[in-house]
Amino acid sequence: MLMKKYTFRIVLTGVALLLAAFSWNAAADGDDLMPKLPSAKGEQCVEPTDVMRRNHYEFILHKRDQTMRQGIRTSKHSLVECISCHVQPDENKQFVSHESEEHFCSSCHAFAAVKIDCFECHADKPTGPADPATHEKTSSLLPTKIVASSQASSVIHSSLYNSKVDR
Amino acid sequence: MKDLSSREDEKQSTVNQSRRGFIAGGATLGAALSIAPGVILYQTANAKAPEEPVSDKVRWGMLINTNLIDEADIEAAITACRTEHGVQTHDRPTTDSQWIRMVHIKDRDTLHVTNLPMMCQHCESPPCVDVCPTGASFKRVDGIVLVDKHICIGCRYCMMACPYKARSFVHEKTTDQLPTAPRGKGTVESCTLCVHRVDRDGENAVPACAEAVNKDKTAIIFGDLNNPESDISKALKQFGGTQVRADLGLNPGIRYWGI
Repeated sequence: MLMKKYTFRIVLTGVALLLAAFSWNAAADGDDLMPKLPSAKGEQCVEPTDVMRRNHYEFILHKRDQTMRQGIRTSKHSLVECISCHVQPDENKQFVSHESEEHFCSSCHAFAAVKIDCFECHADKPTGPADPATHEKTSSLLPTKIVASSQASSVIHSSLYNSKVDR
Repeated sequence: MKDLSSREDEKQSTVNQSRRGFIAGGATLGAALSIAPGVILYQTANAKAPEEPVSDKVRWGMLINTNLIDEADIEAAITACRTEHGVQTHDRPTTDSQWIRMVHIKDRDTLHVTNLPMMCQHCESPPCVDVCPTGASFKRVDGIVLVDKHICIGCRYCMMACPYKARSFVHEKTTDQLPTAPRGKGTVESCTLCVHRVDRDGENAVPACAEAVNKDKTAIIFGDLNNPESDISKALKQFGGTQVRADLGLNPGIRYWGI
C-alpha cells in the first residue's frame, strides 16, 4: 500500500539522479570525446578544414592515379606535402610512427576505427632530420650487405678497355 | 636659304631617325618574339612542369657500355639503387628485393668475361603488362614500365612472365620508406628508371645507377630515344646497341654495348 503510493515518486527520483550522474560525467569528460590532433606546420591547410574532414580521401585517391599513370606531381594534394606539414617532430625531436595514435593520421583514424593501409607502402614521416640542430637522420637506409646474383671468380678491370673498342 | 634648307634637312633627318628607330625596334621585337617561343620551348621540353602529364613524344631509355664497367661499378650501382629507394636487405639472397643485379657472362670460346647490370628493360611490349590480372603492371606513355602498388595484389604473375627476372616480391614489412619510393609488403616492385628523377629533370635526369657508375667516365647514358638529337640516340645511331634476348621482340628501352 505504501509502495504503491510512493512508487512513482521513487522511480522519478531514481531516473533524475541517473540523468544527473551521466550529464555530470559527460560535462567533465567532454574534451576527451574528440581526437586530439597534433598541430601542423604553417597557417592553414590547402583546403578548408571542413572540406578536408569530409573529402580528404577523395583528394588522395584521385591524385594518386594522376601521379602514377600520368606523372602529374603537383604539390597541392600530394601525400608527401601533406605529411611534410602535418607530421612534425614531438617534444623528443623524434618523428612519430603511424602505428602510434600520436601520428596525425592515426589520431583520427583510431578514433573513427577506420583502418588505413597507406603507410604499408608510403613514408609516414618527412625525410630529413627531425632535429635540424643535430642533423641526425631518423632512419638508416644503407644496406649492410650487397647481393649479386652471380659471383665472379676473378675481377677484370676496365683499364683493359677504352671506349674506342666497342664497334 | 642655306639656313632654311639646313633646318629642313634637320627636320627631315630627325623625323627619319625616329621612324627608322621605330621600324628597326619593331622589327627586332618581332624577330625576338617569333624566335623566343622556340628557344624557351626547347629548354622546357627537357623537364616537364609538375602539372603537365607525361607525353608519348618521349621514350626514355638507357645505353649501358659494359666495356667500361667492372664488378666494382656494378656493385656501386646496386648500392646506389638501394639507397635511392630505401630498399633494405634482410641477409636472405633468395628473397631479398633486387631492382638491379649483376649478370656475369663468360664466353666459352673466347673466354671473354662480361659483367653487366641487369634491371627492368622497360620493354615496348612488356610481357609483365600483358599478364597482370589487375592492370597494376603498366607502361606509362613515355615508356617507363611501373607497378601501381595500390592495385597490385601480389600474385607474382609478372615475375613469372618477365624474361629478364626483373621483378621482385616484397616478403617483409617495409619500414623507413622514402617519400619518393613507396614500397610495401605483398606487392611486386622493380626498377622504375628513377621515375621521380625523370619527372623532375627530364632529359637531364640521371638515374641512381648511372650516377654511381659515371663517376669518372660515361658508361651509362640516359636519354630520350625518340629525340634524334639526344646523346643516347646519337650514340645508338653511330654504334648500334644490343638488346638482351632480342629474339623475343620486346624492343626494350635498355641497350648494351659490349655484349
